Amino acid sequence: MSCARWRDLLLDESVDELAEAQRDEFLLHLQVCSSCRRAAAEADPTVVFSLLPEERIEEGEVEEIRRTVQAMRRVRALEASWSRRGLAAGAFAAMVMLAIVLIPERPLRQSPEEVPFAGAVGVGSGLVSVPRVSSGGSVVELQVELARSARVSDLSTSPTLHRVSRLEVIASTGELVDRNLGNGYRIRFSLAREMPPSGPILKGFQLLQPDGQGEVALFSADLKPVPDSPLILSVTPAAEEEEQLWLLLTYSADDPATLLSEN
Amino acid sequence: MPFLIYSSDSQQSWTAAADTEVMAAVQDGDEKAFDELIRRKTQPLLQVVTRITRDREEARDIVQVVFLRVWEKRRRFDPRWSPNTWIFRIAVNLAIDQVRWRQTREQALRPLGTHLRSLKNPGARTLADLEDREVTGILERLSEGLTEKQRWVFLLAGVERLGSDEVGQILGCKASTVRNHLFAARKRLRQELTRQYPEYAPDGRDSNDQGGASQ
Repeated sequence: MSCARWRDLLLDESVDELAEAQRDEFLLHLQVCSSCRRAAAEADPTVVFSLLPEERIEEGEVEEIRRTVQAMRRVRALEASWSRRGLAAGAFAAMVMLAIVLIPERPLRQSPEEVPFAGAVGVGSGLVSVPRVSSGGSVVELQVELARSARVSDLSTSPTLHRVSRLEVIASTGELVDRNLGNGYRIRFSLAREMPPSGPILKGFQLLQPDGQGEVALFSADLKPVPDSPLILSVTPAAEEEEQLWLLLTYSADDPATLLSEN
Repeated sequence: MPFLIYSSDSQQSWTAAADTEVMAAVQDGDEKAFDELIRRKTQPLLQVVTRITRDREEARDIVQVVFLRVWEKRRRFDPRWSPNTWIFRIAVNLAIDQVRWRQTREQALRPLGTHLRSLKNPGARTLADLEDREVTGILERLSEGLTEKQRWVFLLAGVERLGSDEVGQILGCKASTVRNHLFAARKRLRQELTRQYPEYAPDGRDSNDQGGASQ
Protein backbone atom coordinates (compact mmCIF):
# COMPACT_ATOMS: atom_id res chain seq x y z
CA MET A 1 0.00 0.00 0.00
CA SER A 2 1.30 3.44 -0.83
CA CYS A 3 2.07 6.17 1.68
CA ALA A 4 -0.81 8.27 0.36
CA ARG A 5 -3.23 5.38 0.86
CA TRP A 6 -2.05 4.86 4.41
CA ARG A 7 -2.56 8.50 5.23
CA ASP A 8 -6.06 8.48 3.75
CA LEU A 9 -6.82 5.43 5.84
CA LEU A 10 -5.57 7.14 8.98
CA LEU A 11 -7.86 10.09 8.33
CA ASP A 12 -10.86 7.77 8.18
CA GLU A 13 -10.11 5.46 11.07
CA SER A 14 -7.98 5.34 14.18
CA VAL A 15 -5.29 2.70 14.36
CA ASP A 16 -7.36 0.61 16.74
CA GLU A 17 -10.26 0.47 14.33
CA LEU A 18 -8.18 -1.13 11.64
CA ALA A 19 -8.41 -4.87 11.20
CA GLU A 20 -5.63 -6.59 13.12
CA ALA A 21 -3.67 -7.65 10.06
CA GLN A 22 -4.04 -4.23 8.53
CA ARG A 23 -3.02 -2.56 11.77
CA ASP A 24 0.15 -4.66 11.99
CA GLU A 25 0.94 -3.85 8.37
CA PHE A 26 0.33 -0.19 9.03
CA LEU A 27 2.57 -0.09 12.11
CA LEU A 28 5.26 -2.00 10.25
CA HIS A 29 5.11 0.64 7.55
CA LEU A 30 5.45 3.40 10.14
CA GLN A 31 8.61 1.80 11.44
CA VAL A 32 10.32 2.18 8.09
CA CYS A 33 8.69 5.34 6.72
CA SER A 34 9.66 8.44 8.65
CA SER A 35 7.31 10.80 6.80
CA CYS A 36 4.27 8.60 7.47
CA ARG A 37 5.42 8.15 11.06
CA ARG A 38 5.52 11.90 11.50
CA ALA A 39 2.14 12.32 9.85
CA ALA A 40 0.65 9.64 12.09
CA ALA A 41 2.15 11.25 15.18
CA GLU A 42 0.64 14.57 14.21
CA ALA A 43 -2.78 13.00 13.71
CA ASP A 44 -2.62 10.86 16.87
CA PRO A 45 0.55 10.99 19.00
CA THR A 46 -0.45 7.84 20.89
CA VAL A 47 0.36 5.83 17.77
CA VAL A 48 4.04 6.43 18.54
CA PHE A 49 3.67 4.36 21.70
CA SER A 50 2.88 1.37 19.51
CA LEU A 51 6.21 1.77 17.75
CA LEU A 52 8.42 1.36 20.78
CA PRO A 53 11.08 -1.27 20.19
CA GLU A 54 11.19 -4.59 21.97
CA GLU A 55 13.26 -4.98 25.09
CA ARG A 56 16.75 -6.11 24.23
CA ILE A 57 17.62 -9.38 25.82
CA GLU A 58 20.86 -11.28 25.51
CA GLU A 59 20.91 -14.96 24.71
CA GLY A 60 22.90 -15.50 27.90
CA GLU A 61 20.12 -13.94 29.91
CA VAL A 62 17.57 -16.39 28.57
CA GLU A 63 19.89 -19.24 29.44
CA GLU A 64 20.43 -17.87 32.92
CA ILE A 65 16.70 -17.61 33.48
CA ARG A 66 16.26 -21.14 32.18
CA ARG A 67 18.86 -22.52 34.58
CA THR A 68 17.41 -20.64 37.49
CA VAL A 69 13.88 -21.79 36.75
CA GLN A 70 14.99 -25.39 36.41
CA ALA A 71 16.91 -25.09 39.66
CA MET A 72 13.88 -23.64 41.40
CA ARG A 73 11.85 -26.50 40.05
CA ARG A 74 14.37 -29.02 41.37
CA VAL A 75 14.37 -27.43 44.78
CA ARG A 76 10.59 -27.48 44.87
CA ALA A 77 10.64 -31.14 43.95
CA LEU A 78 13.06 -31.84 46.75
CA GLU A 79 10.90 -29.90 49.15
CA ALA A 80 7.86 -31.86 48.06
CA SER A 81 9.78 -35.06 48.55
CA TRP A 82 10.62 -34.02 52.06
CA SER A 83 7.07 -32.97 52.73
CA ARG A 84 5.90 -36.41 51.82
CA ARG A 85 8.33 -37.80 54.31
CA GLY A 86 7.03 -35.50 56.98
CA LEU A 87 10.30 -33.73 57.39
CA ALA A 88 9.72 -30.59 55.47
CA ALA A 89 8.74 -28.16 58.13
CA GLY A 90 12.07 -27.52 59.75
CA ALA A 91 14.54 -29.84 58.19
CA PHE A 92 14.98 -28.89 54.59
CA ALA A 93 13.73 -25.37 54.71
CA ALA A 94 15.91 -22.67 56.04
CA MET A 95 14.87 -19.37 57.38
CA VAL A 96 16.21 -15.96 56.70
CA MET A 97 14.96 -13.10 58.70
CA LEU A 98 16.18 -9.78 57.49
CA ALA A 99 15.73 -6.58 59.29
CA ILE A 100 16.93 -3.23 58.13
CA VAL A 101 17.25 -0.66 60.81
CA LEU A 102 17.83 2.95 60.16
CA ILE A 103 20.53 3.97 62.56
CA PRO A 104 22.62 6.63 60.91
CA GLU A 105 25.00 7.26 63.74
CA ARG A 106 25.77 3.93 65.26
CA PRO A 107 28.92 2.44 63.80
CA LEU A 108 28.58 -1.13 64.96
CA ARG A 109 32.07 -1.90 63.79
CA GLN A 110 33.45 -0.09 66.79
CA SER A 111 31.48 -2.08 69.31
CA PRO A 112 30.46 -5.48 67.97
CA GLU A 113 29.95 -6.79 71.48
CA GLU A 114 26.89 -4.59 71.72
CA VAL A 115 25.10 -6.45 69.01
CA PRO A 116 22.22 -8.22 70.68
CA PHE A 117 22.27 -11.11 68.29
CA ALA A 118 24.08 -14.37 68.60
CA GLY A 119 26.77 -14.91 66.06
CA ALA A 120 27.08 -11.32 65.05
CA VAL A 121 30.25 -10.56 63.21
CA GLY A 122 32.12 -7.60 61.98
CA VAL A 123 30.08 -4.99 60.31
CA GLY A 124 30.80 -2.54 57.62
CA SER A 125 29.77 -1.48 54.21
CA GLY A 126 32.62 -3.48 52.76
CA LEU A 127 33.68 -7.05 53.19
CA VAL A 128 32.23 -8.96 56.10
CA SER A 129 33.09 -12.45 57.22
CA VAL A 130 30.26 -14.70 58.13
CA PRO A 131 30.76 -17.89 60.08
CA ARG A 132 29.99 -21.15 58.41
CA VAL A 133 26.48 -22.30 59.01
CA SER A 134 25.86 -25.92 59.70
CA SER A 135 22.45 -25.91 61.24
CA GLY A 136 20.40 -24.02 63.72
CA GLY A 137 20.90 -20.60 62.28
CA SER A 138 23.09 -17.64 62.68
CA VAL A 139 22.77 -13.93 62.68
CA VAL A 140 24.90 -11.34 61.05
CA GLU A 141 24.53 -7.66 61.07
CA LEU A 142 25.64 -5.58 58.17
CA GLN A 143 25.74 -1.93 57.67
CA VAL A 144 24.55 -1.10 54.21
CA GLU A 145 24.99 2.29 52.76
CA LEU A 146 22.56 3.62 50.26
CA ALA A 147 22.93 2.18 46.78
CA ARG A 148 25.79 -0.03 47.84
CA SER A 149 26.05 -3.71 48.39
CA ALA A 150 27.16 -5.44 51.51
CA ARG A 151 29.46 -8.26 50.67
CA VAL A 152 29.33 -11.40 52.71
CA SER A 153 32.30 -13.62 52.30
CA ASP A 154 33.09 -17.15 53.39
CA LEU A 155 29.50 -18.11 53.52
CA SER A 156 30.30 -21.73 52.88
CA THR A 157 26.81 -23.02 52.95
CA SER A 158 26.30 -23.64 49.29
CA PRO A 159 24.32 -25.41 48.16
CA THR A 160 21.72 -23.92 50.36
CA LEU A 161 18.14 -22.99 50.25
CA HIS A 162 17.28 -20.00 52.32
CA ARG A 163 13.69 -19.35 53.00
CA VAL A 164 12.81 -15.79 53.74
CA SER A 165 9.95 -15.79 56.13
CA ARG A 166 9.84 -12.19 57.07
CA LEU A 167 11.50 -8.88 56.59
CA GLU A 168 11.39 -6.46 59.40
CA VAL A 169 12.20 -2.87 58.82
CA ILE A 170 12.73 -1.08 62.05
CA ALA A 171 13.37 2.61 62.44
CA SER A 172 16.15 3.85 64.66
CA THR A 173 13.58 4.53 67.34
CA GLY A 174 12.82 0.84 67.47
CA GLU A 175 9.46 1.29 65.83
CA LEU A 176 8.45 -1.38 63.37
CA VAL A 177 8.14 0.20 59.96
CA ASP A 178 7.35 -2.76 57.83
CA ARG A 179 7.22 -6.47 58.00
CA ASN A 180 7.00 -7.75 54.50
CA LEU A 181 9.68 -8.89 52.21
CA GLY A 182 9.75 -6.92 49.04
CA ASN A 183 7.69 -3.98 50.12
CA GLY A 184 9.99 -1.61 48.42
CA TYR A 185 13.08 -3.40 49.62
CA ARG A 186 14.88 -5.62 47.25
CA ILE A 187 17.14 -8.26 48.64
CA ARG A 188 19.26 -10.00 46.15
CA PHE A 189 21.83 -12.70 46.61
CA SER A 190 24.46 -13.37 44.04
CA LEU A 191 27.85 -14.94 43.84
CA ALA A 192 30.81 -12.66 44.23
CA ARG A 193 33.24 -14.55 42.09
CA GLU A 194 33.42 -15.84 38.58
CA MET A 195 31.84 -19.12 37.79
CA PRO A 196 34.37 -21.92 38.01
CA PRO A 197 35.20 -23.76 34.80
CA SER A 198 34.12 -27.03 36.34
CA GLY A 199 30.48 -26.18 36.05
CA PRO A 200 27.95 -23.43 36.32
CA ILE A 201 26.88 -22.00 39.61
CA LEU A 202 23.46 -20.59 39.81
CA LYS A 203 22.99 -17.12 41.04
CA GLY A 204 20.69 -16.52 43.89
CA PHE A 205 17.15 -15.69 43.16
CA GLN A 206 14.28 -14.26 44.99
CA LEU A 207 10.69 -15.31 44.94
CA LEU A 208 8.25 -12.73 46.06
CA GLN A 209 4.72 -13.55 46.98
CA PRO A 210 1.93 -11.10 47.62
CA ASP A 211 1.80 -12.13 51.25
CA GLY A 212 5.39 -11.12 51.71
CA GLN A 213 6.90 -14.58 51.72
CA GLY A 214 9.91 -15.26 49.65
CA GLU A 215 12.78 -17.57 49.00
CA VAL A 216 16.39 -17.07 48.26
CA ALA A 217 18.39 -19.93 46.94
CA LEU A 218 22.00 -20.47 46.14
CA PHE A 219 23.42 -23.72 44.99
CA SER A 220 25.51 -25.28 42.34
CA ALA A 221 24.06 -26.70 39.19
CA ASP A 222 24.68 -30.24 40.33
CA LEU A 223 23.66 -29.48 43.90
CA LYS A 224 27.15 -30.15 45.16
CA PRO A 225 28.82 -28.02 47.77
CA VAL A 226 30.83 -25.10 46.56
CA PRO A 227 33.31 -24.39 49.33
CA ASP A 228 34.12 -20.85 50.25
CA SER A 229 31.85 -19.28 47.74
CA PRO A 230 31.55 -15.64 48.51
CA LEU A 231 28.07 -14.33 48.47
CA ILE A 232 26.94 -10.83 47.77
CA LEU A 233 23.87 -9.62 49.49
CA SER A 234 22.59 -6.37 48.15
CA VAL A 235 19.74 -4.40 49.55
CA THR A 236 18.05 -1.58 47.76
CA PRO A 237 16.28 0.62 50.24
CA ALA A 238 12.85 1.93 49.46
CA ALA A 239 13.19 5.47 50.55
CA GLU A 240 15.77 7.49 48.77
CA GLU A 241 16.28 9.76 51.73
CA GLU A 242 17.64 6.92 53.81
CA GLU A 243 21.33 7.48 53.95
CA GLN A 244 22.39 4.53 55.97
CA LEU A 245 20.82 1.26 56.87
CA TRP A 246 21.44 -1.51 59.27
CA LEU A 247 20.79 -4.87 57.85
CA LEU A 248 20.06 -7.67 60.26
CA LEU A 249 20.28 -11.05 58.69
CA THR A 250 19.17 -14.14 60.46
CA TYR A 251 19.34 -17.38 58.64
CA SER A 252 19.66 -21.05 59.02
CA ALA A 253 20.47 -23.48 56.35
CA ASP A 254 20.59 -27.11 55.51
CA ASP A 255 22.32 -28.76 52.69
CA PRO A 256 20.06 -30.15 49.98
CA ALA A 257 22.89 -32.38 48.81
CA THR A 258 22.85 -34.13 52.15
CA LEU A 259 19.14 -34.56 51.92
CA LEU A 260 19.48 -35.83 48.42
CA SER A 261 22.01 -38.46 49.38
CA GLU A 262 19.68 -39.65 52.10
CA ASN A 263 17.01 -40.09 49.49
CA MET B 1 23.71 -36.56 39.77
CA PRO B 2 23.11 -35.04 36.41
CA PHE B 3 21.05 -32.12 37.56
CA LEU B 4 20.40 -29.33 35.12
CA ILE B 5 22.73 -30.73 32.54
CA TYR B 6 21.64 -29.26 29.29
CA SER B 7 21.90 -31.26 26.13
CA SER B 8 21.64 -29.31 22.92
CA ASP B 9 20.99 -32.49 20.93
CA SER B 10 17.89 -33.47 22.80
CA GLN B 11 16.63 -29.91 22.51
CA GLN B 12 16.56 -30.04 18.77
CA SER B 13 13.49 -32.21 18.67
CA TRP B 14 11.40 -29.40 20.13
CA THR B 15 12.68 -26.38 18.25
CA ALA B 16 10.41 -26.96 15.28
CA ALA B 17 7.37 -28.00 17.27
CA ALA B 18 4.29 -25.82 17.64
CA ASP B 19 3.54 -24.19 20.98
CA THR B 20 0.63 -26.56 21.52
CA GLU B 21 2.87 -29.59 21.00
CA VAL B 22 5.52 -28.23 23.34
CA MET B 23 2.90 -27.45 25.97
CA ALA B 24 1.40 -30.93 25.64
CA ALA B 25 4.82 -32.41 26.31
CA VAL B 26 5.31 -30.08 29.27
CA GLN B 27 2.04 -31.36 30.66
CA ASP B 28 3.48 -34.84 30.45
CA GLY B 29 6.47 -33.67 32.45
CA ASP B 30 8.97 -33.43 29.60
CA GLU B 31 11.81 -31.26 30.92
CA LYS B 32 13.33 -30.67 27.51
CA ALA B 33 10.03 -29.35 26.24
CA PHE B 34 9.92 -27.08 29.27
CA ASP B 35 13.38 -25.82 28.37
CA GLU B 36 12.12 -25.00 24.90
CA LEU B 37 9.09 -23.23 26.31
CA ILE B 38 11.35 -21.05 28.45
CA ARG B 39 13.51 -20.22 25.45
CA ARG B 40 10.52 -19.21 23.38
CA LYS B 41 8.63 -17.19 25.92
CA THR B 42 11.31 -15.44 27.98
CA GLN B 43 11.71 -12.55 25.56
CA PRO B 44 8.02 -11.67 25.10
CA LEU B 45 7.26 -12.21 28.78
CA LEU B 46 10.15 -10.06 29.89
CA GLN B 47 8.97 -7.41 27.49
CA VAL B 48 5.40 -7.28 28.77
CA VAL B 49 6.27 -7.62 32.45
CA THR B 50 8.89 -4.89 32.18
CA ARG B 51 6.33 -2.58 30.62
CA ILE B 52 3.94 -3.25 33.48
CA THR B 53 6.38 -3.07 36.38
CA ARG B 54 8.69 -0.48 34.80
CA ASP B 55 11.55 -2.35 36.37
CA ARG B 56 13.67 -4.78 34.40
CA GLU B 57 15.18 -6.57 37.40
CA GLU B 58 11.82 -7.00 39.01
CA ALA B 59 10.45 -8.25 35.72
CA ARG B 60 13.17 -10.85 35.54
CA ASP B 61 12.27 -12.19 38.98
CA ILE B 62 8.63 -12.32 38.00
CA VAL B 63 9.32 -14.13 34.74
CA GLN B 64 11.19 -16.81 36.65
CA VAL B 65 8.23 -17.25 38.93
CA VAL B 66 5.92 -17.39 35.91
CA PHE B 67 7.78 -20.38 34.51
CA LEU B 68 7.81 -22.07 37.88
CA ARG B 69 4.04 -21.59 38.08
CA VAL B 70 3.62 -22.92 34.56
CA TRP B 71 5.44 -26.08 35.54
CA GLU B 72 3.62 -26.51 38.81
CA LYS B 73 0.19 -25.86 37.31
CA ARG B 74 0.80 -27.58 34.00
CA ARG B 75 -1.80 -30.25 34.65
CA ARG B 76 -4.47 -27.57 34.98
CA PHE B 77 -3.79 -26.36 31.46
CA ASP B 78 -6.64 -27.15 29.08
CA PRO B 79 -5.33 -28.14 25.62
CA ARG B 80 -8.15 -26.11 24.08
CA TRP B 81 -6.55 -22.97 25.40
CA SER B 82 -3.78 -21.04 23.69
CA PRO B 83 -0.52 -21.74 25.57
CA ASN B 84 0.61 -18.21 24.85
CA THR B 85 -2.49 -16.65 26.33
CA TRP B 86 -2.40 -18.92 29.38
CA ILE B 87 1.23 -18.11 30.14
CA PHE B 88 0.72 -14.41 29.53
CA ARG B 89 -2.24 -14.43 31.84
CA ILE B 90 -0.12 -15.84 34.64
CA ALA B 91 2.59 -13.30 33.92
CA VAL B 92 0.32 -10.28 33.72
CA ASN B 93 -1.50 -11.24 36.90
CA LEU B 94 1.78 -11.64 38.78
CA ALA B 95 3.08 -8.35 37.42
CA ILE B 96 -0.12 -6.51 38.29
CA ASP B 97 -0.06 -8.03 41.78
CA GLN B 98 3.45 -6.73 42.18
CA VAL B 99 2.52 -3.24 41.04
CA ARG B 100 -0.54 -3.15 43.30
CA TRP B 101 1.60 -4.31 46.15
CA ARG B 102 3.89 -1.40 45.58
CA GLN B 103 0.96 0.96 45.29
CA THR B 104 -0.28 -0.01 48.71
CA ARG B 105 3.01 1.30 49.96
CA GLU B 106 2.49 4.49 47.99
CA GLN B 107 5.69 3.80 46.17
CA ALA B 108 4.38 2.78 42.80
CA LEU B 109 4.13 6.33 41.64
CA ARG B 110 7.68 7.09 42.48
CA PRO B 111 9.10 10.03 40.61
CA LEU B 112 9.23 8.85 37.07
CA GLY B 113 11.94 11.12 36.02
CA THR B 114 12.08 14.78 36.44
CA HIS B 115 14.52 14.32 33.59
CA LEU B 116 11.56 14.17 31.25
CA ARG B 117 11.63 17.90 30.92
CA SER B 118 15.21 17.83 29.79
CA LEU B 119 14.58 15.92 26.62
CA LYS B 120 17.40 15.51 24.20
CA ASN B 121 15.42 16.92 21.34
CA PRO B 122 13.53 19.90 22.71
CA GLY B 123 12.96 21.13 19.20
CA ALA B 124 11.29 17.95 18.02
CA ARG B 125 7.96 18.63 16.34
CA THR B 126 6.25 15.35 17.09
CA LEU B 127 6.66 12.40 19.42
CA ALA B 128 7.91 10.48 16.42
CA ASP B 129 11.00 12.68 16.37
CA LEU B 130 12.00 11.74 19.91
CA GLU B 131 14.26 8.91 20.94
CA ASP B 132 12.63 5.70 22.13
CA ARG B 133 13.86 6.25 25.67
CA GLU B 134 12.21 9.64 25.75
CA VAL B 135 8.96 8.28 24.32
CA THR B 136 8.99 5.55 26.97
CA GLY B 137 9.45 8.15 29.69
CA ILE B 138 6.56 10.22 28.39
CA LEU B 139 4.34 7.16 28.16
CA GLU B 140 5.11 6.23 31.74
CA ARG B 141 4.27 9.68 32.94
CA LEU B 142 1.07 9.97 30.94
CA SER B 143 -0.02 6.48 32.01
CA GLU B 144 -0.37 7.72 35.56
CA GLY B 145 -3.50 9.52 34.41
CA LEU B 146 -5.14 6.29 33.29
CA THR B 147 -7.28 4.00 35.36
CA GLU B 148 -5.68 0.69 36.24
CA LYS B 149 -7.69 -1.23 33.64
CA GLN B 150 -7.01 1.35 30.95
CA ARG B 151 -3.31 1.20 31.71
CA TRP B 152 -3.04 -2.58 31.41
CA VAL B 153 -5.17 -2.66 28.29
CA PHE B 154 -3.16 0.07 26.66
CA LEU B 155 0.15 -1.59 27.51
CA LEU B 156 -0.98 -4.94 26.14
CA ALA B 157 -3.03 -3.81 23.16
CA GLY B 158 -1.71 -0.37 22.37
CA VAL B 159 1.99 -0.88 23.04
CA GLU B 160 2.55 -4.64 22.82
CA ARG B 161 -0.02 -4.81 20.03
CA LEU B 162 -1.75 -7.94 21.22
CA GLY B 163 -5.19 -8.53 19.74
CA SER B 164 -8.34 -7.53 21.63
CA ASP B 165 -9.42 -11.15 21.99
CA GLU B 166 -6.11 -12.21 23.48
CA VAL B 167 -5.95 -9.22 25.81
CA GLY B 168 -9.49 -9.99 26.90
CA GLN B 169 -8.54 -13.56 27.74
CA ILE B 170 -5.43 -12.43 29.60
CA LEU B 171 -7.27 -9.83 31.67
CA GLY B 172 -10.46 -11.80 32.00
CA CYS B 173 -12.84 -9.51 30.14
CA LYS B 174 -14.60 -9.30 26.79
CA ALA B 175 -12.84 -8.16 23.64
CA SER B 176 -15.40 -5.37 23.29
CA THR B 177 -14.50 -4.20 26.79
CA VAL B 178 -10.85 -4.19 25.80
CA ARG B 179 -11.64 -2.01 22.80
CA ASN B 180 -13.63 0.39 24.95
CA HIS B 181 -10.80 0.66 27.46
CA LEU B 182 -8.32 1.14 24.63
CA PHE B 183 -10.39 3.93 23.12
CA ALA B 184 -10.77 5.63 26.50
CA ALA B 185 -7.06 5.20 27.22
CA ARG B 186 -6.00 6.82 23.95
CA LYS B 187 -8.38 9.69 24.54
CA ARG B 188 -7.07 10.19 28.05
CA LEU B 189 -3.46 9.98 26.89
CA ARG B 190 -4.09 12.65 24.29
CA GLN B 191 -5.65 14.86 26.94
CA GLU B 192 -2.72 14.32 29.27
CA LEU B 193 -0.32 14.99 26.43
CA THR B 194 -2.03 18.30 25.75
CA ARG B 195 -1.82 19.17 29.41
CA GLN B 196 1.71 18.02 30.16
CA TYR B 197 3.45 18.19 26.80
CA PRO B 198 1.48 20.65 24.68
CA GLU B 199 4.39 20.92 22.28
CA TYR B 200 3.66 17.36 21.08
CA ALA B 201 -0.13 17.50 21.12
CA PRO B 202 -1.91 17.88 17.79
CA ASP B 203 -3.67 21.21 17.58
CA GLY B 204 -7.37 21.01 18.08
CA ARG B 205 -7.51 17.24 18.28
CA ASP B 206 -8.02 16.91 21.99
CA SER B 207 -10.37 19.80 22.33
CA ASN B 208 -12.67 17.86 20.02
CA ASP B 209 -12.25 14.73 22.10
CA GLN B 210 -13.12 16.55 25.26
CA GLY B 211 -16.22 17.83 23.60
CA GLY B 212 -17.73 14.37 23.63
CA ALA B 213 -16.41 12.71 20.49
CA SER B 214 -17.35 9.08 20.26
CA GLN B 215 -16.45 6.16 18.08
